[in-house]
Amino acid sequence: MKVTILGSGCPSCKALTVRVHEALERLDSSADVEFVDDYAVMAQYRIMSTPALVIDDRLIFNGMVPKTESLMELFEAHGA
Amino acid sequence: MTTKVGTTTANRSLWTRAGLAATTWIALYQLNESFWDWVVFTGAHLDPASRLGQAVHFFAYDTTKILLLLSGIIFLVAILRSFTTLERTRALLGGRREGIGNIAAAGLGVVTPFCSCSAVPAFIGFVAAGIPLGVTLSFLIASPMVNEVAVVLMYGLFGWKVAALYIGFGLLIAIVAGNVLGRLGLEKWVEPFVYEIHMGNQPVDETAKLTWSDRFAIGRAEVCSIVRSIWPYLLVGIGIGAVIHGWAPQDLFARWAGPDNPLAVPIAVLIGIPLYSNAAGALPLVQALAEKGLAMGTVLAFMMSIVALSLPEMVLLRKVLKPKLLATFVAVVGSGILMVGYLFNAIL
Repeated sequence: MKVTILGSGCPSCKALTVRVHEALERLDSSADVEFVDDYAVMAQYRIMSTPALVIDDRLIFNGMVPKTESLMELFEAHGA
Repeated sequence: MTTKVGTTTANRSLWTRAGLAATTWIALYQLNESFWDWVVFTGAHLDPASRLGQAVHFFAYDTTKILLLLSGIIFLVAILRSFTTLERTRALLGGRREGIGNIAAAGLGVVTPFCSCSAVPAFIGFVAAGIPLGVTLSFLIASPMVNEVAVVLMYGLFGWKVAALYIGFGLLIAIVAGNVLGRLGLEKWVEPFVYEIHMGNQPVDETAKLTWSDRFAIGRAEVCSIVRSIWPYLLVGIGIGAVIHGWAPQDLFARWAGPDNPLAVPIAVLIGIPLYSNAAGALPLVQALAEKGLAMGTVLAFMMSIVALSLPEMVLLRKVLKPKLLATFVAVVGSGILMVGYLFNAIL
């Protein structure tokens, strides 16, 4: 499973990054995590607000920072 | 059956709690001044006529009042905004001509949720969907300028008339500046990659699934997040304001920054540019200055400059706007703000 966080470095984006790492750690997952702040790449996912979460090249959500527990459920559903 | 009853009970409890919270808020707001009168002047025995007494009372009263106002309005606005999304706004603006488009964009800019870091994805999203550059810029000017923190602070510190002027003229600047910029035909100064992107038009509507419990949670989260990020600036600003309130001479500004000094407005606009996230701190300070004679037009211009010409946002927008366009943007919006400042110094 490849997890990509799209953001511009603002507090919400950082918060999402922290929670994603926390969620994956708690799930004992070996998923790859990358942070992308290139706007051209972000535009390809057609998002209009950051931060956004992409799993295996599919956009899952944008413009929110869910709780770690919600992220854990999301990752489990995608085969973490 | 059980689920239905359970949900109804849960809903009733949610609304009961909401009602209690609202009532508590109103009570706290009404009792604020009397409470601090009692604590500072009766309890701590400070002399209401003394500078120290005045300053301490100002600090305590203003901090409580602003925190209450901020939490109340941020909560309400966050809930309102949970009903709109950038995607829906884009869909609404698609296909509108300049003129009407500028007005719609400015209006939507006020109600659509927007954080500075979304400026670039939002810009790309709008332009790539075919919304004219000028209309997109009207949105980008109105959104940060007429934001609830700024409006609440203006209302709490200067009263509803000044807040209304701020909103009204903020929108006017957004509409006119966007329109002017649109007419200048500056598309060639947008970074090329923006026009090479093709966006689909289906809005990803996540807001339809939100329950009231979700919306209240969003409201609470917004309040915590915003208050957490601004409270140090707020306290410093109110602190300096308190000192000015207690110790600075009454006519401090009448002498060199009153309504007749033509340099006061441009200086205020320039100082505002690097100050973005410090709006919360700058405002209480400015209120104290206004008491000492700083002209209201200068105050309005300062506030608009802080939020609309924000340096962090300019840095972000540089990724999609070439320097010439960015400079033109600052010049046009800045001129609008200057004119508003001079206008109000002349008439208020």
